[in-house]
Amino acid sequence: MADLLRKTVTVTAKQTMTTKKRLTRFFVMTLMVAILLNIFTIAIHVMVVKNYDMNVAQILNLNQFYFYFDEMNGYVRDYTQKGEAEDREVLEKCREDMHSFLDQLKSREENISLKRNVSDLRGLIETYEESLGQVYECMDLVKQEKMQSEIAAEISQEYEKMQNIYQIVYGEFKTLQMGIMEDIWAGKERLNSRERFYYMELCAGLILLIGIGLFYARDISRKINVPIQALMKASEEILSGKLAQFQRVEILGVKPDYEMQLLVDAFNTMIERIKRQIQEIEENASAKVALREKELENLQITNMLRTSELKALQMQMNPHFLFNTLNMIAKTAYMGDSDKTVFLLHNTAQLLRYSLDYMGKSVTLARELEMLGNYVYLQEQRFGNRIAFEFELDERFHQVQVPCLILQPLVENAITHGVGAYLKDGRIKIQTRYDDESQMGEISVSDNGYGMSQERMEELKRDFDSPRMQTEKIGLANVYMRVQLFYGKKAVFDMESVPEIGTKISIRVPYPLKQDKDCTAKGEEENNVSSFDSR
Amino acid sequence: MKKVIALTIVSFLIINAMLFSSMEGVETIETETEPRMTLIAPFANKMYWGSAAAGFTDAGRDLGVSTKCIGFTKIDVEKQVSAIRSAIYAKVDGIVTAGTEESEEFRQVLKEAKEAGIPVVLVDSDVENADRICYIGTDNYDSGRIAGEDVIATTGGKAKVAVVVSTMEVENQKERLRGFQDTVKAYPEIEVIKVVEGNSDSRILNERIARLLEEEKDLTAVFCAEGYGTTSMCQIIKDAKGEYDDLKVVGFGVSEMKNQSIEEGIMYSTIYQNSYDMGYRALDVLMRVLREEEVPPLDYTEVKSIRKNNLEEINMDEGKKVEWQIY
Repeated sequence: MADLLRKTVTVTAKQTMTTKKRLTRFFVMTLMVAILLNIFTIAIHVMVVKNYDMNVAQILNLNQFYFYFDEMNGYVRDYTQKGEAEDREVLEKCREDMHSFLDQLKSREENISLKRNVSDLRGLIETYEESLGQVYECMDLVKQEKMQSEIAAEISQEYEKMQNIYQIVYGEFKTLQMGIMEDIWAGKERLNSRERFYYMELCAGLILLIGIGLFYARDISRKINVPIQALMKASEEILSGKLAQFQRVEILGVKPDYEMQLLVDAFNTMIERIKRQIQEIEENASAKVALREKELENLQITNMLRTSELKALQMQMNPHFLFNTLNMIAKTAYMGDSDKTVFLLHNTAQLLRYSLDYMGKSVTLARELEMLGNYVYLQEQRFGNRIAFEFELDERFHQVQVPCLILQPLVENAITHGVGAYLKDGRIKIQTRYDDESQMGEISVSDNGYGMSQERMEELKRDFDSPRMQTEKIGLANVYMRVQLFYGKKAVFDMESVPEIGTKISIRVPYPLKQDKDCTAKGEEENNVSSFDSR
Repeated sequence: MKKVIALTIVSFLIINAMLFSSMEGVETIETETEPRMTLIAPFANKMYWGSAAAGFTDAGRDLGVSTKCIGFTKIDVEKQVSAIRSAIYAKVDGIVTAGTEESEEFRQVLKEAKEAGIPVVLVDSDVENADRICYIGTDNYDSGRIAGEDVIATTGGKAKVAVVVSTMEVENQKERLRGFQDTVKAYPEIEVIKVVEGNSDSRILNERIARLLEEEKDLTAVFCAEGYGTTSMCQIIKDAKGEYDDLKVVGFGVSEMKNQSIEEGIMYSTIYQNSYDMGYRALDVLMRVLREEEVPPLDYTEVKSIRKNNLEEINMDEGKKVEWQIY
């Protein structure tokens, strides 16, 4: 059973989703989306910051350029006036810085007008520097002590030109700044429109994340919660003592995960096994009760037998019977009939031995009848013509097993209570009859004694069934009990009596005739009993 | 399911990679390698100079030349001259500007340009004996002649005509008047009774035109030889509400106001100068100079009379898209 379960579960494990897998997938998915969103956010941030830095750099470059240009122009003034080498050095430094910032001026590619203006600015600076070069040359000439008014005039002319250019360049500042601002503005606009898209994407990502979360939460709660609820309900039901009515846990509506299915299947198997074991225990208990009852019954039988043995012994050793018998034997011996004497003694001895040997055992009906024959012979000898014994036998069922010494008390009873007081014409009939239809054999002992009234008989029958006197019962009651114990309900003990007509006691025992044929070979040696009896 | 998720993620990544990569970087501005040309217009308007600038810019785009259009809020020769000088100092490859006859400084700056080896093309109006490569613009005599023909057509060869000019010192005004007078000379019944100088100043123009209309009661036609005069004339007639409806007006230049006046019948016709062509051809000539080709010193652009029936031939929008650098 467990193997089968395991097998089916392993088959389904490959097909169905396990909770572990589901949780892993949920985790991975969520993590992936979250990482993507994070990367995305960082990218947006980097983009925005980069854009901002770019804008700041653009403006700063322009400002720095103008700052150094201004500085340089100041030193140019100083230099043209004084011609000091120090000024020239500082001037050159400023020029270098100015150039570095000029070269760093940046724009987005499509800003044509800014590009053009910067190109023009470079042209202007170039012209300015050409003039500066002229001034340097002139100054060098001045240094060589060739101070001439022409040179001074040229210097002042170039200086004027430079100042002119300075003014023009300064005039350009507004245009350049506006160009850069336009550039920044255009970039910002584009960024803004893009940002809106990014934020929409971000929102979509978040919604997706929430969606995944909700989907998995619902899914997992359904696939785990529903089976657990079903199991809980089943457990409560079982705890409240309804195990017998409980069938099995069924999960409806959802296909549970592998783990849950396993749990439910295991639960079902467990309940099934518990139920089976309880059933087995119950069966064992009832068997034990039956056994005990049987033992009790056996004990009763033994007890009963012991009682009957005692009673039989008492009966056999009935001094009256023994006295009569011995008297009769003595008389016979006195008459010189030694053969008969021997036979009578032998008969008596056999009867006594049978009583002792087979006490408490079952014997075939044939054997019982043989012993009964001995008893009847002795009684015939005793009563002579006063009582006539009659046998009418149907040997078809004589192999049936009967408790020993059930017939002798019946005959004794017939003599004692029936015909014993008769001086003549007492008759006792021992009959066996087989009824084919009911498959039962009947053994009956009937007499033509005084009989008894209906009331007396009812009283007697009641006495048979009263349980309290079982061990003490003797005579008829004893026989009745033993028959009941030996055959159970299958045998019938019957008693008929009509006052002044006689009494008939019959025992019907079951004996299926089919077995008769098998048993005939066994029972062959007993055939001589009937021949003996018929004699 | 798995495939859908994978596809979504991959497409998401690709789209974003594309978006981020398309993020334009900021580049260091290099000095342009293509020739730099500058148009310095005396006035930054939308119609006449706007068209010229549009022609100039379009030519630049067609020929792969960097162009820059400088204009002013009002006509100021000094500013124009300093702008030209600025362009010279900026070492541009060519300059297009309009001639200003009476200014000695203008001649001086053209000389400076020539010394710096920068070719200058004059458009709209020429300056005699100036250091310029070429003049591209209206044949002013011819435009005067066309105006004369319009006056003859509208008056039936019998009229007393007044002419409004900016100032008789300007070469193009003189030429236009000469062309006009030569044409109407053939009709003895057409008489030019007065020439009004308005200095292209709307205040002066309004005053003088009003006086003209008051004094000359038998005036039948007016030829306005320049744009401002035409605008003032139309406005005055319009404001008079029917008082001068018999007056036949031939104007100069196109604008929305002037076109509307023609439509309303206030003005008979106006002389249209193709300034777009001027700008375009000026740049072409400069490029030819750079390639050291021979260029003609004079190049006349189209002049035509615009009346009610061919108003729609004028593209009023071409000058509107120009990016001026206004000083």
